[in-house]
Amino acid sequence: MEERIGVLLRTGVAVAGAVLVLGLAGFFLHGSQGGFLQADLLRHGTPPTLRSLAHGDPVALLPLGILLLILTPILRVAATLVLFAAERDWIFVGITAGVLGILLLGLAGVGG
Amino acid sequence: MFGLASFLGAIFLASAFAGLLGSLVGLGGGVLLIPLLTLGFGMDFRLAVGTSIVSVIATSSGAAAAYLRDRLTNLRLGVLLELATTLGAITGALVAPRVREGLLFVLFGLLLLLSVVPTAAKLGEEVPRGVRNDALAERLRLASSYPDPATGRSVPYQVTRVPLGMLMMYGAGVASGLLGIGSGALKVLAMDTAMRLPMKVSTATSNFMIGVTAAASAGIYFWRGEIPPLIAAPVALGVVTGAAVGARLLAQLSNRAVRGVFVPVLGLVAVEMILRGMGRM
Repeated sequence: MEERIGVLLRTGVAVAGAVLVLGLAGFFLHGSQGGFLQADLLRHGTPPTLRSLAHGDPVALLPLGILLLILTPILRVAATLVLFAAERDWIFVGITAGVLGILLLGLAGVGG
Repeated sequence: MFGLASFLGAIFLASAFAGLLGSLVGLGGGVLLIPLLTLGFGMDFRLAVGTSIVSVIATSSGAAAAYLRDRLTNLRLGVLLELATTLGAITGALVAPRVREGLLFVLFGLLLLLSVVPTAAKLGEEVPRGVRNDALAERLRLASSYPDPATGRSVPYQVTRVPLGMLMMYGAGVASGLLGIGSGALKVLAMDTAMRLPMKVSTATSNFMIGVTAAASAGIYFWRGEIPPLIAAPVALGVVTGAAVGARLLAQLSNRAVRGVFVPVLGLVAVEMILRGMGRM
């Protein structure tokens, strides 16, 4: 089971990494079709670039890859929850659910 | 465009070095990335934090996978302590915008010193002796064992002072969310000194928690617009590359060697960060 959690972590990072590489390659080959300037991409965080993904802007792959990275450990916690449920270890199912709840608050950008 | 490419290339290479060193010493890499981005590349502290926190997730996920394979991680203990670290991380991320930059530099430097001093004083205790489970560790079955790669034998261990450990973990979480680091040093410190776990288990379990801790605050930084994507991408890729190499090396190194490498380097960086911060206050 530990092996599988390890595989999940590696896969998440690999997929996110590939998306980031594609985003960087796309930016250097085509620039930003969404009209995002270098300065914006260097000096500001850009949740808005994410929206230009629908218009095929390669730059949008960068925030997408970042979000995938953030999701990876959250998925790992979800997998751990399943593991404890399979062992009928209800105390640890509760503890893991608590961690997952806190993570989802953070993912939603609570307080921002 | 060419200038930008070589700039991002330099950032990639520097991040790879930070990732290698970070994973060798059981830190998320952020502890070296923040000084690198602020002192080295002149980035705003807050954007450096946003950039670093993403890379911390990337590093620790790669390294955590390696530790899981080597069966050094205490999964149950890790999940329990994550309750405290994630709450702390969210606290830190929410407080961060109210803290002045100079103070962040100083806090960062002090934290670095704090993580260096006890480590220097207590070089190389592989397996603490005479540790007995406390009530919580008993009830939650936190005691475990790990295979020692040097001898191939299984080393059993118990866990003590869990409530104190959780309190320290909350503090480690706050530091992580505020300063953009995995705060692996604080986590290892809590597991080493409060709960008295074997060093290899502390390091592995710390790494297991770092990604989750960082993920708790990363979403807040992301939606606040404090993660610059064109910087964060090469930094994350560089750190992962360096960390992958580091994780392979770690299982073959002794704790003493690992600590001997990181103590002097981090001490120097800490002093530089404090001086910089005092200049800005």
